[in-house]
Amino acid sequence: MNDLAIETHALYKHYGDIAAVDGLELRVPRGAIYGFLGRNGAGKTTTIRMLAGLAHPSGGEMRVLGLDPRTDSVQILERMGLVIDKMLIPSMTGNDLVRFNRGFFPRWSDALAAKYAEVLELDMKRTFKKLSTGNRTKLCLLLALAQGAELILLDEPTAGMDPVVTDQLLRVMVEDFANEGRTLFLSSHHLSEVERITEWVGIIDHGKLLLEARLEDMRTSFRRVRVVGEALPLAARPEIVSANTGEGTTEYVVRADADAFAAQLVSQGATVLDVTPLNLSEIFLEVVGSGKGKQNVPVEVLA
Amino acid sequence: MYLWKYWRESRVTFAVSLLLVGLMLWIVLKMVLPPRGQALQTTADISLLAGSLLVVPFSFLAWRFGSFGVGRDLGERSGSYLFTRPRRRAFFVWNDWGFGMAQLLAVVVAAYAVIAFGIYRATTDHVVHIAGGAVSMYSIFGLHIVAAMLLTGLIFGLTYLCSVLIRSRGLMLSVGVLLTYSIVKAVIEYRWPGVKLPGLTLTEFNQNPTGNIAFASNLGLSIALRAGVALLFPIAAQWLLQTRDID
Amino acid sequence: MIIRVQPGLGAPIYLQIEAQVKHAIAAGALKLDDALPPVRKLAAELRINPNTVARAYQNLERDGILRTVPGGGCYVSSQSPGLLKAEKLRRLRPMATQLAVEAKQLRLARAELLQLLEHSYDSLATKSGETQ
Repeated sequence: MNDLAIETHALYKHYGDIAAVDGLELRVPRGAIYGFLGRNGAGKTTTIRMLAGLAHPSGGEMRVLGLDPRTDSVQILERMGLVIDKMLIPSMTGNDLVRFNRGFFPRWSDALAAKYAEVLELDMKRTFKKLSTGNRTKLCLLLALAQGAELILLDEPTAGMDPVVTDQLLRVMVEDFANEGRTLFLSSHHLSEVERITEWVGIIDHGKLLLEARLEDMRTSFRRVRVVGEALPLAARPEIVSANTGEGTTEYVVRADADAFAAQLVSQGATVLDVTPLNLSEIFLEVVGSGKGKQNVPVEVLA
Repeated sequence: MYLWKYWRESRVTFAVSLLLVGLMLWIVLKMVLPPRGQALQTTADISLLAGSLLVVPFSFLAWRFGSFGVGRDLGERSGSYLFTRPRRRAFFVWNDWGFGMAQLLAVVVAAYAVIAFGIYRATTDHVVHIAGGAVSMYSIFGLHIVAAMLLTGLIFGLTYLCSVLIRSRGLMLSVGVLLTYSIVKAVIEYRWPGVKLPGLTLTEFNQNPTGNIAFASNLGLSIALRAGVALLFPIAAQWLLQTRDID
Repeated sequence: MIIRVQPGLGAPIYLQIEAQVKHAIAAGALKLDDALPPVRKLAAELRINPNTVARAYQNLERDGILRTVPGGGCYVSSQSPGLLKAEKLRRLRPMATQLAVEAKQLRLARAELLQLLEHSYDSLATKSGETQ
């Protein structure tokens, strides 16, 4: 259990009739960069708020760094850095906030705060309310990183950021993570960024975890198999995520054993056009969109 | 460093209040002090009235102070930052409450010190005649300070709780509650003349049947009960923050 | 030397890095005993996970293309002496198959395909100044 930075068992959170989190089973290994992916309203923020001790679960279990946020929240928060809401105290400047924050954390590093202020090009003398959204996020991240935390939780850190700021944030996140081998948990629906830096991916939809795997494993096992013909006897295999026919071809997306599947089709006399890999964005759309037909799922992708 | 944050929020209000007390001192010195060498041949009975002078300004000040602290952060949507600092909810509530009450105490004591000084200089006999005997005017002012702190504690606590309850409208809710209570009390007492509901301020003195002023009956009990009620508000605020989700 | 990766392609990033290092060596951009950027630095520059870079470097070291010096630092080692011919062929076979499939689909003649291959090979040899 102690090699997991975060774990949840059958975690539930209801608001009235609506289950924002509906039996979530998360396993976040220590020392990993974990991308928590989902559409808007999938339950990412609610989950993070529960892990941070801001919201009370309706049921289930959580462990953060081996401790229960319901009873040991203070101890967890000493070792965990957070960026949720991206809102700090509006009347304070960056320097004020550093001064305010410093007293809470024994491992605070002024040197690190100064370094990140420079790297991120932040004016630490401006009051928070006068900062642009991008700079606000940067300041929130600065405070979380200078804290010397073992685990960093970021809720959609690059949401609404322009490409330059996104790039700066990514660079800082990677550098900081590389320095100490800490655990980084970020939720996002900017899949192209997530794809760069994460090792582990958890896809959440309607409060449930649909897929949790190493990104490399997903890349090696998810395949798109295109076959000539439309009226093919479909062997119902659990690996098939979706099947679509049109324009004389059938396209299967499988999550494992693509070669065996293709071979099976060939043995049934079908002509396999190609077997191609999918990127994270495509995998996400398949996993989240499956079961409802091929809809255009609006997921923000920064090219 | 958390108190530093509260200080940043409250320092202007605090400074202005002290300035007003200073202004009051200046007026007192100008108006009350007799010409050099002369003093009025009176006792300090006027001290009895000093308590009612400052009810309105103290109430207003306590009400303003109630909006400082976590209620402000919740209203400005920085609650998720503040409450993810590694401290219990109780830490925030009682630091807010303690520091706010300390500042209120400073203003109350300063204000009454000024008035007491004026009365001291204007009279020769520094005792107050209360049924049965003479009481030092300092004791009377001590009682005034207690009464004022009970009043400010009540309003401060109520407003603090309101600002935790409904964030940006906390001040208005508090006023609403106080007004509603006063109105309901007045209506009930009008309708059923025998019934007397407790007022917002401590009744320090009564007129006994012989027409003399005396300390109110059960004064100690009243003080204790009022202190208890005043403390209920921050306790309730702490409970709310512990059980409700933070936005 | 500049390494660039494209995460969105679906090809694993570590393989892309390995391929680029090998290509750079083959084209002469990286010479024997040249230093590669440290893992953390490269990861931060590329905005990718450091473990990905580490894995690529480890694979390249296993294949004898890079060597690490105790105390840190990765350097270009001599050109894969330890790699068996069979292993080399095994590595290249999938690419050859893909090339053949594509050529067949495009109805390219066998001779033309061979010509294409020879041309690519020869132009590299010219760049690195060696004949192999």
